[in-house]
Amino acid sequence: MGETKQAIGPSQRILGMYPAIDRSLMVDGQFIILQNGRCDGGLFIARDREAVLLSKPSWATGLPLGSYCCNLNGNPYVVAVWSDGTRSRVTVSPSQIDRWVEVTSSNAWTGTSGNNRLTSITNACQFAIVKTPRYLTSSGTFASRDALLIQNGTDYPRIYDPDTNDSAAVKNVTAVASNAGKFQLTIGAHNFSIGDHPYLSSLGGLSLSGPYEVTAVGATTITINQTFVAGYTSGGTVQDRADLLVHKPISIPASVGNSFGTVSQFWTVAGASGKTYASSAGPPKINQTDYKFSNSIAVPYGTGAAANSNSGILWNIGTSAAATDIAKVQFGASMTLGKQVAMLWEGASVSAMFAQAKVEFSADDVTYVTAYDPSAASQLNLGIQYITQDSTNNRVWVIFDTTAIAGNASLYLRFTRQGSAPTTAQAATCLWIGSPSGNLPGSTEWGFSYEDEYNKVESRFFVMNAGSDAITSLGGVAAVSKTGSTDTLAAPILPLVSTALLDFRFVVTNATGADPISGGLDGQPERINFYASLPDATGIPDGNFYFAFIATLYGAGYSGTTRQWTKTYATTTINVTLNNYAVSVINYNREAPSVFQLPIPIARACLYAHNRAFVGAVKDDNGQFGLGDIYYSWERNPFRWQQVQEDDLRGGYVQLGDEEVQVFLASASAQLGAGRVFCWSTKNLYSLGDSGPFATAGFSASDLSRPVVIGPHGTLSPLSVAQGYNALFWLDQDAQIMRLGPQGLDNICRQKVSNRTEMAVASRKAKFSGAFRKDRYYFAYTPGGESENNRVLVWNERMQAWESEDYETTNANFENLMIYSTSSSTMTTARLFCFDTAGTLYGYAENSTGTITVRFATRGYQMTDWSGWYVFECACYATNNTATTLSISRVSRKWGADEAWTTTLSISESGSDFTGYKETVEHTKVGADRGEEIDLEWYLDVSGTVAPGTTILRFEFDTQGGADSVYLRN
Amino acid sequence: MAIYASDILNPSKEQRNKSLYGDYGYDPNGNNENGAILRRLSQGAGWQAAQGIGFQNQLEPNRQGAITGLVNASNPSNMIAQAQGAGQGAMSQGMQAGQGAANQLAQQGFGAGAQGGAIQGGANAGTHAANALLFQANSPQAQMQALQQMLGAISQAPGSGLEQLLQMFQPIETRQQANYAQHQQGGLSGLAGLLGQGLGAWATGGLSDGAQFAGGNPNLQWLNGVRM
Repeated sequence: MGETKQAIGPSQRILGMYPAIDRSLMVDGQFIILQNGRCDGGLFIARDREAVLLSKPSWATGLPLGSYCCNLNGNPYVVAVWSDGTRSRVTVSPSQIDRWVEVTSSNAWTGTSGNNRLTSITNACQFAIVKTPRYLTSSGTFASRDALLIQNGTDYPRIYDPDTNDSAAVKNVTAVASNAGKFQLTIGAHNFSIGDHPYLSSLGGLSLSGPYEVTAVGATTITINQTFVAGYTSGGTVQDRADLLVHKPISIPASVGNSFGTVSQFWTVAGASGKTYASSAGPPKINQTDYKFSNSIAVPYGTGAAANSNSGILWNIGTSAAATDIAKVQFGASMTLGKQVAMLWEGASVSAMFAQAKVEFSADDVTYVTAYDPSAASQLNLGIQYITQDSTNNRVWVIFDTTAIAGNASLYLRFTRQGSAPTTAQAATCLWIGSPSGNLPGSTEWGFSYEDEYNKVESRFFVMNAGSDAITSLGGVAAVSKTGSTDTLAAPILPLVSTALLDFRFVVTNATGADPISGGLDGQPERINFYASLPDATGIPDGNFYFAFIATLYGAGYSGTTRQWTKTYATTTINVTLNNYAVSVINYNREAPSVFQLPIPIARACLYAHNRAFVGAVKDDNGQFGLGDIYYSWERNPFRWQQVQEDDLRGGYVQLGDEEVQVFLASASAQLGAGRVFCWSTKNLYSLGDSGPFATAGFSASDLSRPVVIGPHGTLSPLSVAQGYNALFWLDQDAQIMRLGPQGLDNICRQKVSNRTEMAVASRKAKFSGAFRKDRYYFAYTPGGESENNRVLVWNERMQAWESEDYETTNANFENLMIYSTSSSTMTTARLFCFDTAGTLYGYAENSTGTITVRFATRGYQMTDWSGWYVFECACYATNNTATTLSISRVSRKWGADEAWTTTLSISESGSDFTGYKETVEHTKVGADRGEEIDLEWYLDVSGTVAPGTTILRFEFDTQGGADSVYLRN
Repeated sequence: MAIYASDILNPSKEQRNKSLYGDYGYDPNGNNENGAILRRLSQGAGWQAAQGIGFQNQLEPNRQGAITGLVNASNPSNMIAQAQGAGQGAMSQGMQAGQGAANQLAQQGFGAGAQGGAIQGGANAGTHAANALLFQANSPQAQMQALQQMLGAISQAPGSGLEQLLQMFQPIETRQQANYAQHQQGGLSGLAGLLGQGLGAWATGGLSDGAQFAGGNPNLQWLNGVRM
């Protein structure tokens, strides 16, 4: 008996490859192998080949320790970390993918002595994009940026922040020329040296953009490692940026700080001189007996030694005082009015005296501006407040709202009587007059943290001791007791009251490092951040501190071509004054750090998802490894971490026992779409969060502190983890490729391709790599007996089957699979990149030229009875006849080894639309083991070289039964 | 409605107290196993301890400041000096409390950073308390209403978390201590000690005892007699 079998064609679509089961148990459409094909359309289509994109840097040794494709602030990058044999260097390839640029350096703004290269030359690196916090300062709004976190488990984290705000002066390009075939840019005197990587932008007529390596320098020129092309017109800039950061804990100087309420403007009230009391008999009467200002010469402010140094301004109102009488004083220096003017008065009837006094200021004694006018209805009970300073001594603060007249520089103070004379004489002494330039409440509480903003590291938070300046240091009198002429009380301090506006100054400890520091700050704080807690309705600060301003401790600069940091303050204790500060500038989206604040822990694994960063397998400050430790950052601030959880928006920490964290990934985990952060350890797969229904799960710190085991399927191949649509893929610790989808965990490997994975080279587990692109999960592995990832198993989600084993015989192997997103100008933006072990970067299946080796082997066919049979005639129809050769092995199953007949098809029909191959000759079964031509089982193994894109339209064969010699296709 | 920690342990999603779950970051609809809860508790214990102490450091001086303001509003003489003196006491107490919390965190296995943070947290709480006293003393004209509101708020301190904290930990300790101790010696017993520090201070005086501020100094008698 005999029949025609169609293995590929209209009546038999390809279902996938199942090499892990016996070929005799396969069904039609299942194949022993499908090599370099794409089969989800039902037919076999030869895939495109790898395209060489970029050779490794000259100094690099082989395969990168880690690589990552990312998009930073709209600009795509390929990032790779390479060993040079001594240190590991970080390189980036910007959007053109035409160069590697090293962004680490031995002469940088960061790192010990300016060397920010990694010390480990063996540890694998993991990467995560983090968002820098958005915040507002008096110098502008700083938008949130993408920055790349790089972790290798032993070095302090590196952060690549190409669009950092921290950059040295911009150099303008004035000319472009060729220097030995490379671009030479004329930029004037500069500090660049060979190996630097300045950022270029806006060079007219050229496409130069992003970082470039400097290969030669002149006094006013730099040459970059880029082939020269003409076309420059004009313009362009060159910028040196502190873009590669070493996120190292900073040394915290003495943590005590003091804040002092003060004012920036004041008149000198104390002293016998400097005040002029012009008088006139009037009208109006000025400084006459019944309404006048004069130096205090009586007890307690003007007698004895105090007569010259401690004289206040005496304000007398007699029983004959009349409306329009004036008391006036001219000071020796002008005072610019702020939003308030405060005075400290002493007297039993101060408020009664002011109740009928119009208060005015003037620069020239001609034009006066009014601070308070009790006769004006709009001013009644407005614009003045009294705060008792000392009821024993009848001292009271009198504060005027001068918002409407702020900015006036005044020399004169004038009071004008508004009512009739008092029944008894009144007197009061002015001890002090001043005005703040800002509008911060006096009871504002302050705290601070140290920060190396260049490296995104901030210290824990310190609350400052509150205080205020004594009036004697601000032109006021010294305080004396009413009972004597000697000082028995400390001078009054400015009122720390919410209704009194003040300026502030701060006394804090400077950084303890050298001056200057060559290279990076290496742990010294570059600045102090001051945080303010404003009073609430009770007038007392609520203890919630928000960012207000900074004091710079170190400034970046050059010493020749050496980058260095110079101290802003020479003293060990610095005095920072905060004048003209508006409450509106306080940045409420940047609260103070916690007292438990930690920098990003050193870790092997990292991820940024759901507004938080995650790290796992941690090395602490003592160099001890917590390989089961997981930390997660504050929400919306990936630079703030803590071990002690304070609330659900801040960070936290959790430990896994007896296992090591390998990798994180975030994904939707159910049809409901709730997001999860998944964590693979060496033993288990965890979901960080509650074990409850996905729909109600959140990402509070409390949820994240509860890792829930999904299954005992961790991984020893962290690079194999990939995210598809609604599913995750990875190789577990038992060499099974797992899929986590809405239906739960599924082993997509067993009895399909598990023979491949189980026989892979164990020593290369950590190098097995996976990626998901266009419905396919690609799993690159090292086959048994080989030493590189020479093969890639391709799982097709639409087929729910293994569609191909990709195998490039001519050049590439497949290390570090990664997805690269190109610009939005292309319809298909996702590209699949990989390296070979020599360090060359490839585009996976991006080259449609030349030929590629293909192979497919059918299931094993057996006759339905015990009759022997054999394959007689084979036919294959394919597109693209260029350079196509195909061989067919008709393989019979016999005891012992399989017995192959191999025949090369010759083209029997060729047209513009397709090519037909048909083998019509008798088989040539040869060999010592050759037995009967007729056997129980046969399969067909087809291999050859075809052009990429060649489609096998139809493959079929005839069988010939021994007893029924019939040509079925005739 | 009374709130009991057993609510937390109730496996029935229908019967558990969902509000309490929410307060402590649990998903009320989730399957909250005891193991997960214990992890959560041991995780949060450091915070609870530090928070408890910080709570008192921050709250009590405010409370005393408020009472002080009520008593002395008409006579603000020497208020600043007294507040400064009391502030020193608050700072000292805060630092001691911080050190205690740090010790407990160390016993719980938290790292050096956490311990340093606890110490700093105590110091910050003490400084904040001293500052609050100073601000209060600077403001003898602070409105009675505001002060009374402040006192009213503080008098409701049990509703601010401590009561729930107590109710949560005690039954859990009772129910879980035996098993937990078998697996991790010193686990919950450490937790209890840690709580004892925070809550004991509350119950036995601690910063709530104004006499600790005033001592025998007659100038600070306005602080004496202030009790919870």
